[in-house]
Amino acid sequence: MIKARAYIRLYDGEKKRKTPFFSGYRPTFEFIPGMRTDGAIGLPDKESFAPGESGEVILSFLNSRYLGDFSSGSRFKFYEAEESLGEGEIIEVLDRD
Amino acid sequence: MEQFYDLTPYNFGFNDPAYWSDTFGNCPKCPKDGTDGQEFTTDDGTQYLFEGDDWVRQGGDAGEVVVTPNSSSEAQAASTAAQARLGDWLASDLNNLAWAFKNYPEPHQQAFIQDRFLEGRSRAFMDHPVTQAAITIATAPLPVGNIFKYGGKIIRFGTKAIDLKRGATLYRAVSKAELDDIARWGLRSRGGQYGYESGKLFATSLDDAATFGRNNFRFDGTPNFLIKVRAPRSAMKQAFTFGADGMNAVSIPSNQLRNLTVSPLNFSPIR
Repeated sequence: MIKARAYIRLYDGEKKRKTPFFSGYRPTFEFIPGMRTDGAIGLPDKESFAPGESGEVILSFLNSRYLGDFSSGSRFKFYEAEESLGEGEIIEVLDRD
Repeated sequence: MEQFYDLTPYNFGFNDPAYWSDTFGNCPKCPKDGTDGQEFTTDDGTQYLFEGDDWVRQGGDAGEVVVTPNSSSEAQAASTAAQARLGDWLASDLNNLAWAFKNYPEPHQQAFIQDRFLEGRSRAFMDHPVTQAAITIATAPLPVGNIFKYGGKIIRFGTKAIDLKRGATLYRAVSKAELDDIARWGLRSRGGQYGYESGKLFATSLDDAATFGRNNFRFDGTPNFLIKVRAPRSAMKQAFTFGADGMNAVSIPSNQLRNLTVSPLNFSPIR
Protein backbone atom coordinates (compact mmCIF):
# COMPACT_ATOMS: atom_id res chain seq x y z
CA MET A 1 0.00 0.00 0.00
CA ILE A 2 1.32 3.44 -0.96
CA LYS A 3 0.80 5.98 1.82
CA ALA A 4 1.39 9.69 2.13
CA ARG A 5 0.67 12.52 4.49
CA ALA A 6 -1.18 15.30 2.70
CA TYR A 7 -2.87 18.61 3.28
CA ILE A 8 -6.30 18.82 1.70
CA ARG A 9 -9.19 21.22 1.39
CA LEU A 10 -12.76 19.96 1.01
CA TYR A 11 -14.70 22.53 -1.00
CA ASP A 12 -18.09 23.81 0.00
CA GLY A 13 -20.72 25.49 -2.14
CA GLU A 14 -23.00 24.50 -4.97
CA LYS A 15 -22.35 21.08 -6.50
CA LYS A 16 -19.95 20.27 -3.65
CA ARG A 17 -20.41 17.96 -0.70
CA LYS A 18 -22.98 19.02 1.84
CA THR A 19 -22.05 16.44 4.46
CA PRO A 20 -18.69 15.64 6.06
CA PHE A 21 -16.80 12.52 5.04
CA PHE A 22 -15.44 10.02 7.52
CA SER A 23 -12.15 8.14 7.77
CA GLY A 24 -11.86 5.63 4.93
CA TYR A 25 -13.64 7.85 2.38
CA ARG A 26 -12.79 6.66 -1.14
CA PRO A 27 -12.93 9.37 -3.78
CA THR A 28 -11.03 9.14 -7.06
CA PHE A 29 -7.81 11.15 -7.23
CA GLU A 30 -6.32 13.04 -10.15
CA PHE A 31 -2.56 13.62 -9.99
CA ILE A 32 -2.16 13.56 -13.78
CA PRO A 33 -4.75 15.61 -15.69
CA GLY A 34 -7.36 13.31 -17.22
CA MET A 35 -6.21 10.20 -15.33
CA ARG A 36 -7.86 9.12 -12.14
CA THR A 37 -6.98 6.53 -9.55
CA ASP A 38 -8.76 4.96 -6.63
CA GLY A 39 -7.57 5.91 -3.15
CA ALA A 40 -8.62 6.35 0.44
CA ILE A 41 -8.46 9.25 2.87
CA GLY A 42 -7.70 8.37 6.46
CA LEU A 43 -8.29 10.80 9.31
CA PRO A 44 -5.64 10.19 11.98
CA ASP A 45 -6.84 12.67 14.58
CA LYS A 46 -10.50 13.40 13.93
CA GLU A 47 -13.72 11.58 13.22
CA SER A 48 -14.98 13.55 10.23
CA PHE A 49 -13.92 16.17 7.72
CA ALA A 50 -16.49 18.87 6.93
CA PRO A 51 -17.11 20.86 3.73
CA GLY A 52 -15.05 24.05 3.80
CA GLU A 53 -12.50 22.49 6.15
CA SER A 54 -8.75 22.14 5.51
CA GLY A 55 -6.32 19.84 7.29
CA GLU A 56 -3.89 16.98 7.31
CA VAL A 57 -4.90 13.49 6.26
CA ILE A 58 -3.30 10.18 5.32
CA LEU A 59 -3.80 9.05 1.72
CA SER A 60 -3.59 5.38 0.66
CA PHE A 61 -3.29 4.01 -2.88
CA LEU A 62 -2.99 0.51 -4.29
CA ASN A 63 -0.80 1.31 -7.27
CA SER A 64 1.48 4.11 -8.35
CA ARG A 65 0.71 4.02 -12.06
CA TYR A 66 -1.52 7.08 -11.99
CA LEU A 67 0.23 9.07 -9.26
CA GLY A 68 2.79 10.92 -11.38
CA ASP A 69 6.09 11.55 -9.58
CA PHE A 70 4.25 11.42 -6.23
CA SER A 71 6.61 13.38 -4.01
CA SER A 72 6.41 16.22 -1.53
CA GLY A 73 4.69 19.11 -3.23
CA SER A 74 2.70 16.95 -5.70
CA ARG A 75 -0.72 18.49 -6.12
CA PHE A 76 -3.96 16.67 -6.81
CA LYS A 77 -7.73 16.99 -6.96
CA PHE A 78 -10.29 14.48 -5.79
CA TYR A 79 -13.72 13.61 -7.14
CA GLU A 80 -16.82 11.50 -6.72
CA ALA A 81 -18.15 12.18 -10.22
CA GLU A 82 -17.58 15.02 -12.68
CA GLU A 83 -17.05 17.94 -10.28
CA SER A 84 -13.89 18.11 -8.20
CA LEU A 85 -14.83 18.12 -4.53
CA GLY A 86 -11.48 19.14 -3.15
CA GLU A 87 -7.77 19.55 -3.71
CA GLY A 88 -4.58 18.87 -1.87
CA GLU A 89 -0.82 18.63 -1.75
CA ILE A 90 1.47 15.82 -0.66
CA ILE A 91 3.49 16.76 2.45
CA GLU A 92 5.47 13.54 2.89
CA VAL A 93 5.48 10.12 1.24
CA LEU A 94 5.34 7.52 4.02
CA ASP A 95 5.39 4.29 2.04
CA ARG A 96 5.93 3.58 -1.65
CA ASP A 97 5.20 -0.19 -1.67
CA MET B 1 -41.81 -30.73 -38.37
CA GLU B 2 -39.57 -31.40 -41.34
CA GLN B 3 -40.35 -27.89 -42.49
CA PHE B 4 -39.24 -26.41 -39.17
CA TYR B 5 -35.98 -28.21 -38.73
CA ASP B 6 -34.33 -25.03 -37.51
CA LEU B 7 -36.71 -24.56 -34.56
CA THR B 8 -35.24 -26.35 -31.56
CA PRO B 9 -34.99 -25.72 -27.81
CA TYR B 10 -31.34 -24.84 -28.45
CA ASN B 11 -31.87 -21.95 -30.84
CA PHE B 12 -30.47 -19.60 -28.17
CA GLY B 13 -27.13 -21.33 -28.72
CA PHE B 14 -27.46 -21.65 -32.48
CA ASN B 15 -28.54 -25.29 -32.02
CA ASP B 16 -25.15 -26.05 -30.55
CA PRO B 17 -25.57 -25.90 -26.76
CA ALA B 18 -22.33 -27.80 -26.25
CA TYR B 19 -20.43 -24.87 -27.64
CA TRP B 20 -22.52 -21.73 -27.22
CA SER B 21 -24.12 -20.10 -24.24
CA ASP B 22 -26.10 -16.96 -23.65
CA THR B 23 -25.51 -16.29 -20.00
CA PHE B 24 -26.17 -12.59 -20.19
CA GLY B 25 -29.41 -13.09 -22.04
CA ASN B 26 -28.54 -10.90 -24.98
CA CYS B 27 -31.01 -12.81 -27.09
CA PRO B 28 -29.41 -13.12 -30.50
CA LYS B 29 -32.74 -14.35 -31.88
CA CYS B 30 -34.68 -11.24 -30.90
CA PRO B 31 -35.55 -8.66 -33.55
CA LYS B 32 -32.70 -6.23 -34.07
CA ASP B 33 -34.76 -3.18 -33.26
CA GLY B 34 -37.42 -3.13 -30.57
CA THR B 35 -39.45 -0.55 -28.75
CA ASP B 36 -39.56 -0.01 -25.00
CA GLY B 37 -41.86 -2.52 -23.37
CA GLN B 38 -41.99 -4.84 -26.39
CA GLU B 39 -41.99 -8.52 -25.51
CA PHE B 40 -40.47 -11.38 -27.46
CA THR B 41 -40.60 -15.11 -26.95
CA THR B 42 -37.87 -17.21 -28.50
CA ASP B 43 -38.44 -20.60 -30.08
CA ASP B 44 -37.49 -22.27 -26.84
CA GLY B 45 -40.00 -20.22 -24.87
CA THR B 46 -37.61 -17.78 -23.21
CA GLN B 47 -39.25 -14.43 -22.54
CA TYR B 48 -37.49 -11.18 -23.32
CA LEU B 49 -38.46 -7.57 -22.68
CA PHE B 50 -37.05 -4.61 -24.58
CA GLU B 51 -35.72 -2.04 -22.07
CA GLY B 52 -33.56 0.94 -22.85
CA ASP B 53 -32.01 -0.32 -26.03
CA ASP B 54 -31.49 -3.96 -25.21
CA TRP B 55 -33.43 -7.14 -24.88
CA VAL B 56 -33.42 -8.27 -21.27
CA ARG B 57 -34.21 -11.84 -20.36
CA GLN B 58 -37.12 -12.16 -17.92
CA GLY B 59 -37.59 -14.69 -15.19
CA GLY B 60 -34.26 -15.53 -13.63
CA ASP B 61 -30.99 -13.77 -13.51
CA ALA B 62 -28.70 -14.99 -16.23
CA GLY B 63 -25.74 -13.86 -14.20
CA GLU B 64 -26.40 -16.67 -11.75
CA VAL B 65 -25.47 -19.25 -14.34
CA VAL B 66 -21.85 -20.25 -14.21
CA VAL B 67 -20.73 -21.18 -17.66
CA THR B 68 -17.44 -22.70 -18.63
CA PRO B 69 -16.36 -23.90 -22.05
CA ASN B 70 -17.31 -27.54 -22.43
CA SER B 71 -14.29 -29.66 -23.01
CA SER B 72 -15.48 -33.23 -22.45
CA SER B 73 -15.13 -35.61 -25.39
CA GLU B 74 -18.90 -36.14 -25.39
CA ALA B 75 -19.51 -32.41 -25.67
CA GLN B 76 -16.89 -32.11 -28.38
CA ALA B 77 -18.56 -34.89 -30.35
CA ALA B 78 -21.95 -33.18 -29.97
CA SER B 79 -20.40 -29.93 -31.08
CA THR B 80 -18.80 -31.51 -34.13
CA ALA B 81 -22.07 -33.15 -35.11
CA ALA B 82 -23.94 -29.87 -34.72
CA GLN B 83 -21.33 -28.06 -36.77
CA ALA B 84 -21.66 -30.67 -39.52
CA ARG B 85 -25.44 -30.23 -39.63
CA LEU B 86 -24.96 -26.53 -39.63
CA GLY B 87 -22.67 -26.87 -42.60
CA ASP B 88 -25.36 -28.78 -44.51
CA TRP B 89 -27.93 -26.10 -43.85
CA LEU B 90 -25.60 -23.34 -44.83
CA ALA B 91 -24.55 -25.18 -47.96
CA SER B 92 -28.21 -25.05 -48.85
CA ASP B 93 -28.22 -21.34 -48.08
CA LEU B 94 -25.19 -20.90 -50.28
CA ASN B 95 -27.03 -22.52 -53.15
CA ASN B 96 -29.86 -20.06 -52.61
CA LEU B 97 -27.35 -17.28 -52.43
CA ALA B 98 -25.75 -18.31 -55.67
CA TRP B 99 -29.20 -18.42 -57.24
CA ALA B 100 -29.94 -14.93 -55.90
CA PHE B 101 -26.74 -13.56 -57.30
CA LYS B 102 -27.45 -15.09 -60.65
CA ASN B 103 -31.03 -13.89 -60.87
CA TYR B 104 -31.25 -10.71 -58.82
CA PRO B 105 -29.58 -7.48 -59.84
CA GLU B 106 -28.21 -5.11 -57.23
CA PRO B 107 -29.53 -3.87 -54.83
CA HIS B 108 -31.86 -6.87 -54.51
CA GLN B 109 -28.90 -9.10 -53.78
CA GLN B 110 -28.20 -7.10 -50.67
CA ALA B 111 -31.82 -7.30 -49.55
CA PHE B 112 -31.72 -11.05 -50.00
CA ILE B 113 -28.56 -11.39 -48.00
CA GLN B 114 -29.98 -9.15 -45.30
CA ASP B 115 -33.07 -11.31 -44.99
CA ARG B 116 -31.44 -14.64 -45.35
CA PHE B 117 -28.23 -14.18 -43.45
CA LEU B 118 -28.83 -11.48 -40.91
CA GLU B 119 -32.50 -11.57 -39.97
CA GLY B 120 -33.14 -15.28 -40.35
CA ARG B 121 -31.62 -18.21 -38.54
CA SER B 122 -28.35 -17.93 -40.40
CA ARG B 123 -27.60 -14.66 -38.68
CA ALA B 124 -26.64 -16.84 -35.75
CA PHE B 125 -23.95 -18.66 -37.64
CA MET B 126 -21.67 -15.71 -38.17
CA ASP B 127 -18.60 -17.58 -37.02
CA HIS B 128 -19.08 -20.69 -39.11
CA PRO B 129 -16.64 -21.11 -42.01
CA VAL B 130 -19.51 -21.51 -44.44
CA THR B 131 -21.06 -18.27 -43.23
CA GLN B 132 -17.71 -16.59 -43.54
CA ALA B 133 -17.56 -17.80 -47.12
CA ALA B 134 -21.01 -16.39 -47.72
CA ILE B 135 -19.94 -13.09 -46.24
CA THR B 136 -16.94 -13.02 -48.50
CA ILE B 137 -19.26 -13.53 -51.45
CA ALA B 138 -21.63 -10.86 -50.24
CA THR B 139 -18.81 -8.35 -49.59
CA ALA B 140 -21.36 -6.11 -47.97
CA PRO B 141 -20.79 -4.19 -44.74
CA LEU B 142 -22.62 -6.22 -42.15
CA PRO B 143 -24.91 -4.30 -39.82
CA VAL B 144 -24.27 -6.55 -36.87
CA GLY B 145 -23.86 -5.42 -33.31
CA ASN B 146 -24.87 -8.31 -31.14
CA ILE B 147 -22.83 -9.49 -28.22
CA PHE B 148 -22.50 -13.22 -28.02
CA LYS B 149 -21.04 -15.47 -25.39
CA TYR B 150 -18.70 -17.81 -27.20
CA GLY B 151 -16.95 -20.62 -25.43
CA GLY B 152 -17.23 -18.84 -22.09
CA LYS B 153 -15.81 -15.63 -23.47
CA ILE B 154 -17.79 -12.57 -24.48
CA ILE B 155 -17.17 -11.50 -28.01
CA ARG B 156 -18.62 -8.54 -29.82
CA PHE B 157 -19.64 -8.31 -33.42
CA GLY B 158 -19.55 -4.88 -34.91
CA THR B 159 -18.77 -1.79 -32.95
CA LYS B 160 -21.58 -1.70 -30.43
CA ALA B 161 -20.25 -0.41 -27.14
CA ILE B 162 -21.91 1.19 -24.18
CA ASP B 163 -23.59 4.32 -25.41
CA LEU B 164 -24.12 6.65 -22.51
CA LYS B 165 -27.19 8.16 -24.07
CA ARG B 166 -28.90 4.77 -24.11
CA GLY B 167 -29.75 2.21 -21.47
CA ALA B 168 -26.96 0.00 -20.18
CA THR B 169 -26.18 -2.96 -17.99
CA LEU B 170 -23.67 -2.02 -15.32
CA TYR B 171 -21.97 -3.79 -12.43
CA ARG B 172 -20.85 -2.81 -8.95
CA ALA B 173 -19.02 -4.43 -6.07
CA VAL B 174 -20.82 -3.82 -2.78
CA SER B 175 -20.24 -4.71 0.86
CA LYS B 176 -22.71 -6.86 2.76
CA ALA B 177 -23.91 -3.71 4.55
CA GLU B 178 -24.61 -1.97 1.24
CA LEU B 179 -26.28 -5.08 -0.16
CA ASP B 180 -28.59 -5.17 2.87
CA ASP B 181 -29.33 -1.46 2.44
CA ILE B 182 -30.15 -2.00 -1.25
CA ALA B 183 -32.47 -4.87 -0.35
CA ARG B 184 -34.33 -2.65 2.08
CA TRP B 185 -34.24 0.76 0.43
CA GLY B 186 -33.00 0.31 -3.09
CA LEU B 187 -29.90 2.07 -4.39
CA ARG B 188 -29.23 5.37 -2.67
CA SER B 189 -26.29 7.58 -1.76
CA ARG B 190 -26.48 9.44 1.49
CA GLY B 191 -23.05 10.95 2.01
CA GLY B 192 -21.66 11.33 5.52
CA GLN B 193 -20.40 8.07 6.99
CA TYR B 194 -22.03 6.21 4.10
CA GLY B 195 -19.59 7.57 1.54
CA TYR B 196 -20.48 9.24 -1.72
CA GLU B 197 -23.05 12.01 -1.75
CA SER B 198 -23.31 12.81 -5.44
CA GLY B 199 -24.16 9.33 -6.69
CA LYS B 200 -22.63 5.90 -7.12
CA LEU B 201 -19.96 4.52 -9.38
CA PHE B 202 -20.47 1.49 -11.59
CA ALA B 203 -18.26 -0.64 -13.80
CA THR B 204 -19.14 -1.45 -17.38
CA SER B 205 -18.07 -5.08 -17.11
CA LEU B 206 -18.26 -7.83 -14.56
CA ASP B 207 -14.47 -8.21 -14.64
CA ASP B 208 -13.92 -4.54 -13.79
CA ALA B 209 -16.45 -4.71 -10.95
CA ALA B 210 -14.67 -7.78 -9.58
CA THR B 211 -11.34 -5.95 -9.74
CA PHE B 212 -12.87 -3.03 -7.89
CA GLY B 213 -14.27 -5.45 -5.30
CA ARG B 214 -10.83 -6.96 -4.72
CA ASN B 215 -9.41 -3.45 -4.34
CA ASN B 216 -12.09 -2.65 -1.77
CA PHE B 217 -11.00 -5.66 0.22
CA ARG B 218 -7.36 -4.56 0.09
CA PHE B 219 -8.39 -1.15 1.43
CA ASP B 220 -10.72 -2.13 4.24
CA GLY B 221 -10.72 -5.94 4.54
CA THR B 222 -14.45 -6.16 3.86
CA PRO B 223 -15.61 -8.93 1.47
CA ASN B 224 -17.66 -7.67 -1.47
CA PHE B 225 -20.57 -9.00 -3.50
CA LEU B 226 -21.30 -8.21 -7.12
CA ILE B 227 -24.55 -6.73 -8.32
CA LYS B 228 -25.81 -6.31 -11.87
CA VAL B 229 -27.71 -3.11 -12.53
CA ARG B 230 -30.01 -2.18 -15.36
CA ALA B 231 -29.77 1.56 -16.00
CA PRO B 232 -32.52 2.91 -18.26
CA ARG B 233 -31.87 5.51 -20.90
CA SER B 234 -33.17 8.27 -18.63
CA ALA B 235 -30.50 7.49 -16.02
CA MET B 236 -27.72 7.09 -18.58
CA LYS B 237 -28.50 10.48 -20.07
CA GLN B 238 -27.40 12.03 -16.78
CA ALA B 239 -24.49 9.69 -16.20
CA PHE B 240 -20.88 10.77 -16.23
CA THR B 241 -18.24 8.39 -17.48
CA PHE B 242 -14.51 8.47 -16.89
CA GLY B 243 -11.47 6.23 -16.66
CA ALA B 244 -10.04 5.25 -13.30
CA ASP B 245 -7.10 2.88 -12.85
CA GLY B 246 -7.44 1.91 -16.49
CA MET B 247 -11.07 0.85 -16.11
CA ASN B 248 -14.26 2.47 -17.30
CA ALA B 249 -16.35 3.99 -14.55
CA VAL B 250 -19.88 5.33 -14.83
CA SER B 251 -21.22 7.72 -12.23
CA ILE B 252 -25.00 7.68 -11.86
CA PRO B 253 -26.24 10.76 -9.96
CA SER B 254 -28.20 10.33 -6.73
CA ASN B 255 -31.50 11.48 -8.19
CA GLN B 256 -31.38 8.69 -10.79
CA LEU B 257 -30.42 5.78 -8.53
CA ARG B 258 -34.04 4.92 -7.77
CA ASN B 259 -34.61 4.27 -11.47
CA LEU B 260 -32.04 1.47 -11.54
CA THR B 261 -33.00 -2.15 -11.11
CA VAL B 262 -30.60 -4.35 -9.18
CA SER B 263 -29.89 -8.07 -9.42
CA PRO B 264 -27.42 -9.52 -6.92
CA LEU B 265 -25.22 -12.06 -8.66
CA ASN B 266 -24.84 -15.41 -7.08
CA PHE B 267 -21.12 -15.27 -6.54
CA SER B 268 -19.05 -15.87 -3.46
CA PRO B 269 -17.83 -12.77 -1.70
CA ILE B 270 -14.74 -11.35 -3.35
CA ARG B 271 -11.73 -11.22 -1.11
